[in-house]
Amino acid sequence: MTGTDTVERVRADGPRAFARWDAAVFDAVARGPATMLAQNLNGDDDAARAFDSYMRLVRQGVGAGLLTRAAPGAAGWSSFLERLLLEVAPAQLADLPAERRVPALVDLWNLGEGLLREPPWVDRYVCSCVRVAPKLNALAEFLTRVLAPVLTPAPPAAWTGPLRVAVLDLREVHDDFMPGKLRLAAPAVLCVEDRRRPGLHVGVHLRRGQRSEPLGVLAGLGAYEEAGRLPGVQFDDGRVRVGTKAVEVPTLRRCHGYTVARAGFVAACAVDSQRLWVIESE
Amino acid sequence: MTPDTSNEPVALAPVEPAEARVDPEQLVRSWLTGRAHVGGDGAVAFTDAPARTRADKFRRAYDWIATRALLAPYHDMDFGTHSATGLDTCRVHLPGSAGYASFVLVPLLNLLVNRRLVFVGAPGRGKTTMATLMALLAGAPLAAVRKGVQHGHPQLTLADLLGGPLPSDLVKAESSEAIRVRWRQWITARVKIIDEYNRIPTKTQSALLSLMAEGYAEQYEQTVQSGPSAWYLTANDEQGGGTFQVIEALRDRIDAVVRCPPLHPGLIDTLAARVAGGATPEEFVPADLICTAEELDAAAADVRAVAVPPAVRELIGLFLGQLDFCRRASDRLEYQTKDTLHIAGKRVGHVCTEDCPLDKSENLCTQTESGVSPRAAQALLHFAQALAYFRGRGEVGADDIRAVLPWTLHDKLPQNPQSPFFQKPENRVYLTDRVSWLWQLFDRAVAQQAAHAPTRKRTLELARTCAAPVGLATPDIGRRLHAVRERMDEVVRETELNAVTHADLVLLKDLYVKCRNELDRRESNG
Repeated sequence: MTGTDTVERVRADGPRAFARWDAAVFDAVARGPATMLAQNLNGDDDAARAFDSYMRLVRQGVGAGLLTRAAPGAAGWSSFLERLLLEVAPAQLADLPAERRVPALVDLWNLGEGLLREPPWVDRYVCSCVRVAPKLNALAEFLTRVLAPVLTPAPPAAWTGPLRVAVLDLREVHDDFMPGKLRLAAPAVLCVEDRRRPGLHVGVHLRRGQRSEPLGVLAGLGAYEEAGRLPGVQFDDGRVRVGTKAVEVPTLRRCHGYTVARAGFVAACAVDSQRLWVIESE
Repeated sequence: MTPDTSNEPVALAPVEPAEARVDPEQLVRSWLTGRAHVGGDGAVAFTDAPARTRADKFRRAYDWIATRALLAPYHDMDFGTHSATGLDTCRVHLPGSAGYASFVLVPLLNLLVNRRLVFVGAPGRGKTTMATLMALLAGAPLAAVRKGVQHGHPQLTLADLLGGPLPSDLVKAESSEAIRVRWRQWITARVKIIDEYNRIPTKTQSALLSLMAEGYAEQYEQTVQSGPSAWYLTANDEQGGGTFQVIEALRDRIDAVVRCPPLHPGLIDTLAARVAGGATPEEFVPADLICTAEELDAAAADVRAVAVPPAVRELIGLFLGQLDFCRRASDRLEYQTKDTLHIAGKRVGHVCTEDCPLDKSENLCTQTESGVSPRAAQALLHFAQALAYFRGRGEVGADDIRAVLPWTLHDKLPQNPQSPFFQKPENRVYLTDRVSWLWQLFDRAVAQQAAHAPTRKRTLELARTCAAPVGLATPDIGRRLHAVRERMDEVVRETELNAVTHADLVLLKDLYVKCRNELDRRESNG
């Protein structure tokens, strides 16, 4: 069976198998990433099986609504699975030994779908930290490495200072977002609730070195509670005191709410601002 | 979750240990045992994707039908706080959250509750197609569905409908028990479709009634059970007219009515494409939407498990209780119902005049000719449970009741067109638009529940304490008897006799009688 036959078979069968089949997305994937893979595999041993397996993944992805485009949009890929399937596999699958290709595709799918079964911030976090495409034959190790900093509780900070401040403008994530209650969703993931719209949440990855960054609007952010003593926090007209240390934050006049992560972060929002202040300490 | 607008900083710092330690390596390893694997042919194979919930499958079915199969641009079931845009002469109601097309959603709910639904509308509007789609979702092959559709026509006989005896048995049998009946296969189908049921002759309608109401058919002293099934009937005439008058008992067994929407100009392109492609929407249903009998049974059990909270039950009671009340039917509390009028050969319009002191724009009793039967009330609750399940809610909300109410009470609640309520220019439209009429009835009941809540509180508390006098000491029963009587005096003195007060007085009298009977029983036993 040729690659064209495989594509035609999936094109005909997809709508009969899946209610959410998107013919336009499938056609775009067939023209783009699938064609690229077919070219890379061309003339290779076992090419037909590898390509057929790849198209089975595409069929599942389009049918389940997990593939929504053939190329990254302005905001990047919609999920890590999408990126793996449409960018990583077409570029790297042909480089693997023939006997490793199908197992690699199996792992690709299971890992990508596994990520999507977790709270939405997990996939968004992975998407946001992956600048360079990972190696197709070492995806599990890659994900373990990437997830460790956010899933493993960090050692408690000594809160000895110095205090450093990062300011995030959440308007860049959502035009009308007004930060309200703050809570942790994971050891290094903050959930910011919108003050006026129940259910509208923004996730923030708490990172050292004033590099905290928003993960976007997310649903289903769970709650994470951690143990240990936390320092007292006081807000006093542009000055924030954390334990025995203080820092000037002139733009944060009237605090609306805050939360403390024992890894050494205090996140706060103001009564009259769409910004979020992340104060960190050693 | 409520917005926190206080000026005091709110600390949501972590509290006592509840730390969830997740080992990233273990987590990632757990993902590797997903549903993709190397199949027997050496290529990737998949096990079926588990639906997040069973209801998810029905939500996908709704999306597919509404956007790909039948296309339903008329979204008349709205949720969330509504907003309106436009002028008084042309107002568009916008849902605060989800909106659905009743033509698609209510038939799906019927598949979940295994009840009886009729599609009404002019020919060619998609009634039979929608019913066919429901049968396909329930797993029947298209050929079997088409073969199983019962087409109503004036010559339809019992044998046509149910099947008949084997001819050889008729000749050889020496008793009726020896005659084997060859039952029609559609009788045991999960989804049963009766096309143009109002063209079926009256005698055959009676056989259909047994099957619909009791779940069995009988011929030659033999019976066949229909099993759990969802019925879909169609009628071109909303009033159930047609070639033969539909017998009242049969109409009463129909739990929901769905109106087929008219053609929208925006659908012409799609229709043209269908003509060009020579395809009809029911020719295939995507495989991932098709349910097994076990899935349907499990979903039906899930629906029945959806809770109806006390506040919602109280609201339904307050709403439905008002519809039967008629203050002018009798001077006695027990007979102040519209049934009293009907038995006397009168209609509500005869007495619902300026002689009745109740405000006709406030009290719901004036708007209806009769109330709702317990059967219809059960159907309303059951459909509301299905809707809550479909929406992923653990319990029924007032919005679920409101959404399904027009379709379950559509043919069950006759209006009193002589009511002064309908004489007002702004209300005349309700005489033609029954759906909006039923919604305004319910909305008024919701407002009344809130308005009467403070005064009803004591009555309802008393009802809770007096519910079971058998377990009380005799002096306690005496005290409760006194309290109930005092409360009745207060209610009569402080509120006018409307439907809500009437319901409370009936409740209080019931409590009084139960306490009184218990005291009498104890006295007679010495």
